[in-house]
Amino acid sequence: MQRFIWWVVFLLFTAFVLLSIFVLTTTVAANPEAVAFVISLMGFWLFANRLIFGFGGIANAASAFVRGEVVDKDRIVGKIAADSHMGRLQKLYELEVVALLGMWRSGLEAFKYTYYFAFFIVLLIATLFELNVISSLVFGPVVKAFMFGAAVPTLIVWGLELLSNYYLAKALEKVVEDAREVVKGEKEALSLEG
Amino acid sequence: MGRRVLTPAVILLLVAALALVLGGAIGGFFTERTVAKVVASIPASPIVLDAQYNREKHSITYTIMNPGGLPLTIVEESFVFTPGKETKEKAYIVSHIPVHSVLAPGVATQVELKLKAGTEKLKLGDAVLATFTYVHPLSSDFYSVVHPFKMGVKEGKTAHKQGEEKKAAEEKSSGGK
Repeated sequence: MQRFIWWVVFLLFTAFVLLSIFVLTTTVAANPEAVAFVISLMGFWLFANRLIFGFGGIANAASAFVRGEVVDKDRIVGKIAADSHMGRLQKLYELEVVALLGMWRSGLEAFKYTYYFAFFIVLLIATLFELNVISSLVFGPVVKAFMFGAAVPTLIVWGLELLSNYYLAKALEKVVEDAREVVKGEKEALSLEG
Repeated sequence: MGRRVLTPAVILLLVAALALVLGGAIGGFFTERTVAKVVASIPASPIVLDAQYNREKHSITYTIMNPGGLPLTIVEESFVFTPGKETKEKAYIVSHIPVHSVLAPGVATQVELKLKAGTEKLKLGDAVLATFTYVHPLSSDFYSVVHPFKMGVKEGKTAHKQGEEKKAAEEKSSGGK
């Protein structure tokens, strides 16, 4: 049953992609800006996907941790190590959840900067066209539309990045507070004994 | 740890505000492109902004603006010379002078009208009524603009006269030739 549903979804997706390509190829002559917008939106989203789900996942897991829920370490280890055996070998299961989330975020750092760099290049070229440093009646609007398409996933990535930073800091704060409580408790116990 | 300003509510507001700006920019951009394409496909009537008499060449140079998005081509010029009180020259008409000046879209172009060779230089009060016949790429019709020019009364070109000129041009262009 699951296999059947998978195939149905896969065929629908393929049909959708083929239809989109058909629509794009038929409208490219009349409306090159719209096509540039769609292509850059899809392309940048493809590269942003890892960041969107990464930062979203970090924010979710960290906020669940702050609320005191039990966080599934397996899932986070799966994001950092190749598989659970490798994770066991790297002694990842012995680490705190917050430490694992921090490692996950460090893993996204390279992707983040590459993504922002790509967007910066597109923005730069669009700005050069906008200020007429380079000027072309044909390519100017197309590059601008391309920049707008790229800006949509970039905004989402940026928002999720801020959100994950906030929740990660919150989670760290909670761990530090908890440790302080434990130390305090131990001290009190010692003073009672003494 | 210090107090953090970027709480989830602030982040949400920030991203929402930026998303509104971005959405507005995208919508504005596509609207502007659509309008620009529509405007670029409309042939406009040319407007004569200025006429200057060149005494050495014995010709009048017209500055003609094409406010539309399609290029217009002037294919023919005609003019009627009406003498003022100070000249001895008699009235004459020169018609169907073939020319080929392209008025590029959105800019003013200078078009020269040579007066009849051998005639006297223009004197105060002399009038030249010029007719420019032009075509545009969307149809095979001929349209025309009529511009009255009176020697020495450049500053006195009143709004009333300009209105008349426009009206005449419109009448001619709507009727064709």
